[in-house]
Amino acid sequence: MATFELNTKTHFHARSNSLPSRPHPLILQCNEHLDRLKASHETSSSSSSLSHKLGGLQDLHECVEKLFQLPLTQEALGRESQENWVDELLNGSLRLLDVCTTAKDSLLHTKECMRELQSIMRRRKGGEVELRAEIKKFLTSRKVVKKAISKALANLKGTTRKCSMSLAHKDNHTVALINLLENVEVVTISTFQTLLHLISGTTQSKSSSWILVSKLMQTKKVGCSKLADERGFAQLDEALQSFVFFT
Amino acid sequence: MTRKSDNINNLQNHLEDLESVIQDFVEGLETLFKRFIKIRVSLLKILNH
Repeated sequence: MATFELNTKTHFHARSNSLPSRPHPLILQCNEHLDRLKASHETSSSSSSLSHKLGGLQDLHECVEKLFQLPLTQEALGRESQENWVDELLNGSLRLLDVCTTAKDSLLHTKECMRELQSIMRRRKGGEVELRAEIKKFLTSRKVVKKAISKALANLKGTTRKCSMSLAHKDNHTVALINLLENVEVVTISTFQTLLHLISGTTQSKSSSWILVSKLMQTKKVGCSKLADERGFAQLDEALQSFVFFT
Repeated sequence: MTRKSDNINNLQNHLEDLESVIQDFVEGLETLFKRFIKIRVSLLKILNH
């Protein structure tokens, strides 16, 4: 695997002859997943690329899960349990559960409203008045979804930490672990931010945390995400609005 | 009148497309949620040891 060779380079630390400081293979594997996710963000944020990215996140977190089964990791966490970064790790894990729930609820709510709209359209009885009323109902529900999403996005703002701490007296595995878990959270949250923006049909601002991601990953440039879908959430809202107000 | 029904047809197609996109996302999120839970459980187990 050529990419493997390439990606591992940056994660090496200085080596000494007596004490190899090569990161554990699982850490390298996680970093590979991270690199892939980050690279895929430089393309568009259409729904198909996002769905692909969710798959990438699954792989990444599966790998992290394995990492927590390692005695080496368990010892490190046990030793460091009173440290700030472990607290932050726990908080971060709650944030992920939260944002995942928000995204899923928003989608399910939108889908439910879409179903009602579809059944009215299919029956086509009652004619226009009823259809318009149903569309207005849908747009009102979408407003509720958008509000929930913007609240969730506001809560996420500034949460992706970059804690300044001394890594001086920590062993290699602990340092690699801390760095990795921090990057995992940043990339995961960023993907969710993109997803939430897509669902609510709003464009993501340039100052998105993907810039932080690119800094963390030490890459030069990150593309600004666009709503690239022809038939996405934003376009549906627009089409329905113009149906109600201009026809 | 035909333009209006064209319009409705378009909307119906749009809704169908989006429905499958939503389905795809929801499935992905459900899998991810399970992973998040598993990781949190392992983490708590380690720390309470």
